[in-house]
Amino acid sequence: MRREERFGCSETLNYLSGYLDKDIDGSLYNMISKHIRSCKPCRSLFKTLKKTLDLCRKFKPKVEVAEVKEEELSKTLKRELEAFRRFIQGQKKC
Amino acid sequence: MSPFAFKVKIYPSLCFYIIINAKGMKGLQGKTPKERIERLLVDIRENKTGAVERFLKEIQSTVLAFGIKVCGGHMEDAKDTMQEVLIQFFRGARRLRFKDPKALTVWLYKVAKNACLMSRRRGKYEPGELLSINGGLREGDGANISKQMDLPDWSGVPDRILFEKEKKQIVQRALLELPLDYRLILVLRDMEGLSTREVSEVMGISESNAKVKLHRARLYLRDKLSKHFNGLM
Repeated sequence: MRREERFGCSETLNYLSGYLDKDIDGSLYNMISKHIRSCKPCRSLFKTLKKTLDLCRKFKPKVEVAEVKEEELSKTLKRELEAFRRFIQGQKKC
Repeated sequence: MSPFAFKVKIYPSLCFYIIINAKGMKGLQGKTPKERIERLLVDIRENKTGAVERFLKEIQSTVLAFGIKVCGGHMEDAKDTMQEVLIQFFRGARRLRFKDPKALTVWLYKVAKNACLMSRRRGKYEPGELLSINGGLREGDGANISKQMDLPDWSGVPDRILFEKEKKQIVQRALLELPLDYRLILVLRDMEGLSTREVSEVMGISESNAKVKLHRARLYLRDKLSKHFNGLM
């Protein structure tokens, strides 16, 4: 039996992440596209998985906007930051 | 003289700082955290004005957010962990000498991952509800898709509804229910924007193993979100 003929829901499920990432070979990609067009549950799974990834990519916890002020930094970190700045200055002179 | 010109005359250095920083941050919009870090490291390497300050701001928020995404927990704990990560990063950055911003960024995530794991061991972050891999991840693996003819499709629910404050908490909670290594892989790949190869480097596993775990984590998260979002259609 040819690969295309036995291609169904479970194969689509196995490769769905690779399909979304475009990280599978062309013939497999085409078979999944074809299957998704004809199978409603797999189409739903594909669309909701894609939406899940969209939500992940756009997800920003509230803390992301919070900024730690320089005076809140620990002494060690301030020292390392200064050493890093001096290192950068040294690089500029080179 | 316009009032704006007057202010510019009084605060020339402040205006210069704002212009330089605004200019430097402009090209970072819409990029993933990993891309922003890489870009700012390139700016530092090219000696652009204000690059170190912009980088410090960016690395703080990136590491802080990474800690919250991976471990949840309290802001103060996340800040402590963030400082430990930054100390290690600045030490290592001097040693590595900016040869490769991509490698340096991957290394930053490795340091951040280890710091999160150490914090959990010390009991800093509140532990999430951990499920066993076998028990938890089979729930959403969709093995019987062909029998689920009524698999609901909530992908059409508008973003403005999905991104309401309480819905964001649903994403955070669902994320924290994933086993830690699966959660780390999903956060690194789908939230921070690392490639699968880079994820495997950070995690110290093979690329194929990273792909398998990523796939299972995505399906599990989709399943968790479906339970909440099916009712919104």
